[in-house]
Amino acid sequence: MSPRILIVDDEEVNLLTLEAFLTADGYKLHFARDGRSAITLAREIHPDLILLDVMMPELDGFAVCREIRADPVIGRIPLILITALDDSSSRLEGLKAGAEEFLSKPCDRAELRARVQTIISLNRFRALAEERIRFERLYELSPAAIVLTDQAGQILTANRAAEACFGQDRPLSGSSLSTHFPPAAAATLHDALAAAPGPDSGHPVDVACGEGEGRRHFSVRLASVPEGLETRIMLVFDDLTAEVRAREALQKLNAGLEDIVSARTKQLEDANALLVSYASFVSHDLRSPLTVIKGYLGLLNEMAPEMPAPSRPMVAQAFQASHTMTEMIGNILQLAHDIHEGDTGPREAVDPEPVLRRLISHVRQVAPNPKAAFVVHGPLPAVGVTAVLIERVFFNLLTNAAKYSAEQAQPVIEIGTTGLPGEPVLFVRDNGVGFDAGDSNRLFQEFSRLATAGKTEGLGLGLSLVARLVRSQGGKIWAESTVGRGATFFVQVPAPATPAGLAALAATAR
Amino acid sequence: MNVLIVDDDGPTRLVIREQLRLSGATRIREAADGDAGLALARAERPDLLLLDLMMPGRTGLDVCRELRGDPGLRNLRVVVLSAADSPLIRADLLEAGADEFLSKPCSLPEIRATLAKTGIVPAT
Repeated sequence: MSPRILIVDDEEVNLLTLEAFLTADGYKLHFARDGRSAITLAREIHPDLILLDVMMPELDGFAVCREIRADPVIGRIPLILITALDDSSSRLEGLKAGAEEFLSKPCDRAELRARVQTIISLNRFRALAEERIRFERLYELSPAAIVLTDQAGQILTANRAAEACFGQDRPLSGSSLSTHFPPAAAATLHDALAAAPGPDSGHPVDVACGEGEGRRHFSVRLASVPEGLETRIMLVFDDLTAEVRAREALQKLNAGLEDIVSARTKQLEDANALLVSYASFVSHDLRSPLTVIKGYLGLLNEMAPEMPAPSRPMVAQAFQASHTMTEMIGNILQLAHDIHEGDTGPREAVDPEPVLRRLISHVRQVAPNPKAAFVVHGPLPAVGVTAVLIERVFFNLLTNAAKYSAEQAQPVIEIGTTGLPGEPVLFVRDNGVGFDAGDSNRLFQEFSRLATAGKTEGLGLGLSLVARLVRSQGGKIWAESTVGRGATFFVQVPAPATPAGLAALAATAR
Repeated sequence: MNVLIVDDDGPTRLVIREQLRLSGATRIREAADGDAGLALARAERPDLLLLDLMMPGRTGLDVCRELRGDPGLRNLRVVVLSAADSPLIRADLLEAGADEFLSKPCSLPEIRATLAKTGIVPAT
């Protein structure tokens, strides 16, 4: 690009003269006819040199000179003042104003051309030097470690970040790159250099150096840099140490977490197994003496007519209590087993209806309530739980329904379904004594019995067992009721697994 | 009705003896373990055996199997008594040849009902 020169003079003839002097030297010439427009134009075109007439109306050459020197952007443009005033005080004023040179009118063509050429060359050189300093500073201060090597890996130069990274013990320049890395990393770098990278950095390679706490990880990008006939290689090292350490810490943490979880799971399994064996042991050991107690009390109860009148109710009550205790022990054992067996096998589709019909005929026998009518509102949705679970849960719910509606003129117990497809909900509804809606949470708690249950037999364990069992299979149980208007128990169970899901399960099992 | 009780727990044998007496048993013998029970069963040839399931040494299940292999005891009715109860246990007992299962603790009405089921005594 040819150097630009701005010529400023209020007289057209002077402009023409200067243009004629310089036109053959290949400069791009710009003109201004007063001081103000000269400054405006200088800001616009950034000339390499300004030739400035001193004697101009309004803003004279000295004023223009001072204003340009004060400008942060165009302040360093070289200026030559041209004037007819050839006295020392004018020269002094011109130098004070910041002019590089002072030429007298009329100008000598050869002198003008020589001066202009010299100043433009110097200025171009100065600009290059400034730019170089700027880039060197960028290179030195870059947070990325930058190293320039020849194709054999000999280091020509390295920036401050590179020295800090892996040149702590000795200067990098002049040494071979591979001597600063352990063998594996040195081999990786050697291969990358030998692969003759293009001018664009290709795939980065990962290397590490140092040991233990001081170990550092880098991602290295390589690019070829032509330098005369030689090809140099620039290596840019991005420090990944922090990322790698964070990742390692996370992995360690995860591994630790897995250990904790598996240890905790083992503890829970042990605790569960212990609970079951403890419950079996306790119930067995309690049952033997209870056999004796219940047996003799039964015999005494038979002989009640022969006893004194006050003893009879005592024996009857003790006998009744032995029944209650038997039931209680059975429930505790059942509870332990149900919790232990919470996780069952694959959830194939089970049609609950035949199971429920079998249960109804069984409930009629064990809880005789000849008046009760059982109604099944089919069809019922297929469910994803075992028939055993359905049997256990609904035996309890149906027995309860029969029990709590026993005093109605016409007890009706209904079984039906509600709920969305994919979330089957079965319900058991009776028209019995019901319960207070505020009690519905207590209903499923262990050993809690509600006020309305007062007249019927029971321990309050049944529903809590049912609830645990349903929840252990991923289901839900809840109830709605109004006192005196019957109760409805809802059981939501998982839907059967899809054929695809079952196939996947079978594949995992294999 | 000639009955044999096999149970390792003395007080349990006593109370069952009383219950059986009230249920119509005329001759009652007792054994405290499986071996003694087998010997008595072969010697006495009772109509009914009340057999505890969990005993040290030979269990009720072992005794049951052994007796079922004895052609001389074909008419013996076996009722197994146990504190442990589960469908699996019941299935094992049926397979071993037991006639009925009685869950401990049992009361007089339960014993009577069970005896009625074996057909030894008429239902009341």
